[in-house]
Amino acid sequence: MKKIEKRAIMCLLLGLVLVLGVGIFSYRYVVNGADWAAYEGNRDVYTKGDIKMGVLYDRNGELLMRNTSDGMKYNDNSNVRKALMHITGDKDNNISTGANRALADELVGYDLINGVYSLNQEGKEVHLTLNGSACATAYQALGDRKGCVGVYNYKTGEMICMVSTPTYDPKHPPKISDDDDSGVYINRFTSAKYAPGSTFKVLTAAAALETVEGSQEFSVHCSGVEDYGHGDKVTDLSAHGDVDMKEALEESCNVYFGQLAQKVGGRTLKKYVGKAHLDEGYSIDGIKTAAGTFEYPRKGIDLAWTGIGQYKDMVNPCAMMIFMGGIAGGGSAAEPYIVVRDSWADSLKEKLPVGDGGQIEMIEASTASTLKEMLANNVKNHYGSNMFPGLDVCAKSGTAEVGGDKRPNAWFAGFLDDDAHPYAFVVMVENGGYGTSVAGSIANKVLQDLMLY
Amino acid sequence: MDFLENAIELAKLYFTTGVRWVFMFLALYILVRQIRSLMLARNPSEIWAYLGCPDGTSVPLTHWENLLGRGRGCDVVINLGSVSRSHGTLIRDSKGIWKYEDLLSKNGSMINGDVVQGPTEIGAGDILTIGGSDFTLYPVSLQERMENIEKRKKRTKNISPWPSLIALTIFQFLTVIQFKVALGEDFPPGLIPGYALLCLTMWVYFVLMRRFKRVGFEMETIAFFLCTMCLAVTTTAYPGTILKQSVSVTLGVILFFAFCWLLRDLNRVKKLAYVLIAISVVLLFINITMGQLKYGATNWVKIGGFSFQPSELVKIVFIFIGAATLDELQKRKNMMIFLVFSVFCLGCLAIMGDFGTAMIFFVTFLVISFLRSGDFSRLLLVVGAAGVMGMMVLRFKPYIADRFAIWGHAWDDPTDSGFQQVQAMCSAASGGIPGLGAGNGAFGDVAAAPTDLVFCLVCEEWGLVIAILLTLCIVTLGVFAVRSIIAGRSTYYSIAACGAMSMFIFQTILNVFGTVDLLPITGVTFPFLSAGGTSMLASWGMLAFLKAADTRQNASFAVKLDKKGEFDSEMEANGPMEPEDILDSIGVGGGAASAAARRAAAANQSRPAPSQYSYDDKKATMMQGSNEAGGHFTNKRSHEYRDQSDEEFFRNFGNARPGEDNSFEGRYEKVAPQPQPKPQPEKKAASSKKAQKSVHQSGAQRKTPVPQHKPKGRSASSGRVSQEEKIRRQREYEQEQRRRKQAQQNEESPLTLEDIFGDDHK
Repeated sequence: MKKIEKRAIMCLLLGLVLVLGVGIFSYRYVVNGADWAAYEGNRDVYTKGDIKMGVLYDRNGELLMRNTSDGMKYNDNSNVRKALMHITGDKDNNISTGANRALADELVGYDLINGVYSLNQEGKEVHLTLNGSACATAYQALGDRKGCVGVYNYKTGEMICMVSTPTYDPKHPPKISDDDDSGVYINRFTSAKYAPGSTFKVLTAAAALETVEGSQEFSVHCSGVEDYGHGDKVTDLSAHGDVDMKEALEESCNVYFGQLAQKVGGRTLKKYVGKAHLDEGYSIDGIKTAAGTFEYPRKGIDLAWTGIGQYKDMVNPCAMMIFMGGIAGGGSAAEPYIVVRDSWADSLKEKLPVGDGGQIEMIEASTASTLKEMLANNVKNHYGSNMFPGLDVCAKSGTAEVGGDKRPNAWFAGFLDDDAHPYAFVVMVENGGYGTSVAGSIANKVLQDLMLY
Repeated sequence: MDFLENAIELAKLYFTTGVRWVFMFLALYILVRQIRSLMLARNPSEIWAYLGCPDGTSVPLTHWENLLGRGRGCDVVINLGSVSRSHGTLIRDSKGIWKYEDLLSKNGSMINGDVVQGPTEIGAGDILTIGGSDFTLYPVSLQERMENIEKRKKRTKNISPWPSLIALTIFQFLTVIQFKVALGEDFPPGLIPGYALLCLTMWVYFVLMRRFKRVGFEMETIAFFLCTMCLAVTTTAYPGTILKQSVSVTLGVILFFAFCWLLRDLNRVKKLAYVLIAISVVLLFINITMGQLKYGATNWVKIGGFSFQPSELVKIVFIFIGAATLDELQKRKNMMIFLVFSVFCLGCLAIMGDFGTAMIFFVTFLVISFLRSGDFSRLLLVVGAAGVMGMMVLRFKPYIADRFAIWGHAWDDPTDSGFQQVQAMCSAASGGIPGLGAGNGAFGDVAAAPTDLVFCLVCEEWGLVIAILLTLCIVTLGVFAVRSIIAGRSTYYSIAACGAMSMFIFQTILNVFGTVDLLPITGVTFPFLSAGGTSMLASWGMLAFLKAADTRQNASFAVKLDKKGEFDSEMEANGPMEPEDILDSIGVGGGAASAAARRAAAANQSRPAPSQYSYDDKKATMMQGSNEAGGHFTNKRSHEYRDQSDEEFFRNFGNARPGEDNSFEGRYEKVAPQPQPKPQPEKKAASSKKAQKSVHQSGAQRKTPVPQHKPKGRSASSGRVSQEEKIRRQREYEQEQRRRKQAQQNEESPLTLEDIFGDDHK
C-alpha cells in the first residue's frame, strides 16, 4: 500500500496538467476575450457576417444608427445620415471607419464580466461625442465639394464634428460603380492626406521660435520673388516688403518662410513635425488616422518649399487640427476620442496618474502663446473679424497648390480662443481655391452652429 | 393587454439578467461545498490488527493488504538482515480472514513452526516467523475500536447533503424556467419530463442512501450537478434527445449502484473478471464488424435503432481488469492478463480509428501499470514505443494529421481547419463570467458542440466560472482518489480509484484542451457533462471505483457497513451521524445523560428524546464517561457482569460494524488513560443492544434501521458464549496487557476482546 501511495503521483500530475491548462486558457480569455468576442464569425454577435447588436447615438442622444437582426436603422434626417455616413457605416460595410468595423467591440459591448450579454440582447448603446446637427451643418456647408470638416475640444479630446464629402445616404445607397474614383467610401478627415500649404508655416514658425535665436525679430525683404539659383524661385502673389514673423504669417509670405526654413534647417523641421505628431497617425477609439509624410531636404529651394508647406509635405487634416489644438492648449493638446466616456472604469482611468493623462506635449507654452497671438492677428488684420461674427478665432488659411491645372486645395485651420468653447478645427476643401474665402466660411458656419450648444 | 404583454416581456428580460448570476452563485455554493469537503476530508486510517514484534513493540496494520519486508516501501518495515526486501504479504480478505503468503523470500516464513507454502490462514496469536524472528498477530480490542469509531467520526466532518441537494433542485427548476424564457415557442417537450426524471433520480438516490446510513455524498452531488449541466447542453444543441439523456442518467445511477455493490466483495470482483473480459471482447468485436463511421472513427454501433459506443463501456472493464490486489501485484500474476487485454483494446480502437479513446486507454494503461509496478524506466519505453506508433497513425490517418497541423494556431484558419476551435473560443468569450443564459447562445449549432466542444458551450451559456468549476470538480475527484490511498484497504480499490480518476482527468484534459486549442481536437467526451448516453453510463460506472475507495466512516455504499444484516446499522442510533449518539446509546455518556438514558431504559422501549442523548463534549472519551457512570455501580458489580456484557457487546458490535472503526491515532492516544470500570457501561449498552438484536434476529431479517431503543435487561445470549471463545478471549486479554505495558497501563477491567477474525465472519 505504501508503494502505491507514492506512485499515485501520476494521477496528481494529470490533475496538475488540467489545472495548468485551464489556467492558460483563463489567461488567454482575459487577454484576448475582446478580440474573440468581436471576431466576425462569432454567432452571438454576427448574423451572416453582419453585426446584429449595438446602437449609436450622438452627444445629444440623437439616434445615429441601430444594428438589428434585420440590418441597420438610421436617423430620420437625411442630412444627418449623409453627414455621418462615414461614422455610422453603410449596409455593405464599405466604410472602414464605420462603426460596425471600427467600433465593433464598443457596439458589441464586450466586457470581461458580462461578455456580450445585454438586456434584450441588443448590444450596447454607444454614445459618440459628435454633435449630429453640427455635422449636418458642416455637410451642408461643404455642399457638393469634396473635402472634410473636423472640430474637437482641445481640452478634453472630444471629437465634436467629423464630416467627409462626397457622401451618400446610407438608408438609400446609390449605385456606385466599381471604377468610381471620387473616394466616396473614404473618410477624408481621418484617412486622407494633403499638401498643407500655408497652414504648415505655423509649424515652421514654431520650430524657429524655439530653435533660432531672435527669430521673432528676424525680418526679410520680400520683393515677391526670391531666386535660389538655377532658376529655382520662391514666389509670392505680391511683394510684401519688409516683413517680420508676425507680418509674414499674416501675409502668408512665402519668401519669408523660405528663408526661415533655411535658418531652421531640415533636421530641426523634422524634429518639430514629429513633436507636432504631423507624421504620425492617431487612433480615435479604434478609428485610425493617416500619418503625414514629409521629406526634409538639407537646404536650398526644396527646403524652402518644405517650410512653406509644399514640396513633398503631406498632412492629414485631423493631425493638423490637433496641432492647432496644441497651440490653443498652451503647447499640448488632448488626445482625441469619439466614444463618450461614461463608464466607471473610464473615469477611473482618467484619474489615474498614468502617462501624460491623455495630453500630447507638442511645443513650449511660450511658443504657443506667441503663435496664438500671431494667429489671432491673422484673423483680426487679414481675414477680417467680421468673417466670424462673435467668435474669437485664431487661424491660418492655406492654399495648397496641387499641380496640373487643378485649382488649389483650400485649408483653414485654427481654434477658438474661448474657454467656454475650447474648439480646434480644420476645414479642407479639395480644389476649393483660395483658403480663407472658401474654407474659412465653412468653418464659420460650423462654429456658429456649435455656439448654440 | 399590450401593457401586460410588455410587462411579461420585460420581466423575462430581467429574469435572464438576474438568473445568470443566481446560477453562478448556486453552482459556486454547491460545488465549492463539495470540493471543500473532499479536499478537507481526512481519511483517518483504520487499524485492522497489530503485529507484535520480537522487541515487545507492536505495529498497527492500517490496510487490508500489507507488505512485510526490509524494503523502505513495505508497509511493515522489518530491519533485519535475515528478512528479504519484500518478504511476504499479510492480507485480510473482505470476510475478515487474514492470510500470510511468502514472496519467495530467501529465508522463508513459518506460522507456528510450519513453513509457509502458498497463502496460509493466520489466526490471532499465531506466531509468524519471518527470517528467524517471531511476530504475533494481535487483534484490535473492542475498546480501541469504540474509540476509533468516535475519533473517525469526529475527524470525518461530513457535510449534510441536503442543502446542496435543495440548491441543486432549485438550480434545475430555474434552468427549466430560463429555457422557457429563452426558447419560447421552441421549448422542447422533453425538457420538463427530462429534468423531472433527473430530479427524481437524484432524490431517490439520496433518500435511499440515507436510509442505508451513508453520509458521504460529495461525489454523487458533483456527478448530479454535471448531469444537470449535461441536460442543459443537450437542450441547447440536441433538443430532441433530452429525455433519452435523462433516462441514461437514471440507468447510470443504477449501474453505479450495482458496481458499488459488486465492489464490496473483492472475491466477487475477481470471479467476475473473466466474464467482464469476455463481454468486452464481444462488444469490441461487434463494434469492429458493425461499427458506423462518424467523424472519421467507427466507434458507434446501431442495434435496433439504439446506438451506443461500446468502447465507452469497455473503459469500465479496463479499470476492473487493471486494478489488482497486493498478492497479485507481488506475483505479477495477472499483469499479463491486463497487458494482453490492453493491447487488444488498443488494437481494436486503432482499427476503429478512434484516436481519442485510444489515447485515453493508453494513458490509463500507463497510470495503472505505474501504480502496479512503479517501474518508471519501463514506462518510458512504452511511451517511446507508443510515440512511434502515434507517428504511424498520423501518417496513415490524414484527418488526424490535419488536426495536428492546425494545433496551436486555430486563428490562422478560422473558417476551415480551425473552425471548431475558433467558434468555441469566440463563443466562450461571448459568455463572460455568468454566461449569456441557457438557451441564449448560438454556439449550439456548431457540430459536436455539446460533446467534444462542451466546455465552451458551457462557457457561452453558463459562464466561465461554472465551466472552470466543472473541471476543478474532476480534479478534486482525482485528488480525493489519491488521498484515499493512505487509508485504503486494498490496493485493488486504490488502483481502481486512481486509474478511474486518471481516466476522468485525462478525458477532461483532451476535451477541454482540444476545444480551446491547447491540444488538437481528439473528439472525446467530458465525463458526465458531454451529451451521449453511453458516455453517461460509463461515467457513472467509473465513479463507483472512487466510491469504493472512500473509507471515511459510513461514507460509502461501496464499503460494507455490516456483514450479517446488510444494512442493519445498529450502531447508528437511529440516524444521527454523531458518535455521541452511539456512545450515549451504549450508556457511556455523561452522568445526566446516562441517567436519563437509564431512566429511559427502565421505562422500557421508550425511546429517549434527543435531548436525553445530549452529549457532553468534555466527556468526549469513553473512559471519562465510564468513570462517571461508574459511580452508580460498584466495581464489584461491574466485574460481575463483565463477561456477559462484553460478550454481548462484542457480538452485537461485531455484527454491526465489521471493521471500519479503528483509527491510527486512537491506537496511540489510548495509551494514556485506562477505563477502569469499563465493562459496566459497555454492559449496559451491549445488553440493551443485544436484546434488541436478538429480537430482530428472531423475527424476520430486518433490513432497515428502526429507532434505537433502550431496552432493559439482558438477553439470555450470554449463555451462548462458548468455553473456547472465553479461553481465547482470556488469551487475547493477556496479550493486550503485554502490549500495553510500556505505556504504563494497568488495565484492570478485563477487556474481553473479540478477535478481529471472528469479528467479521461470525
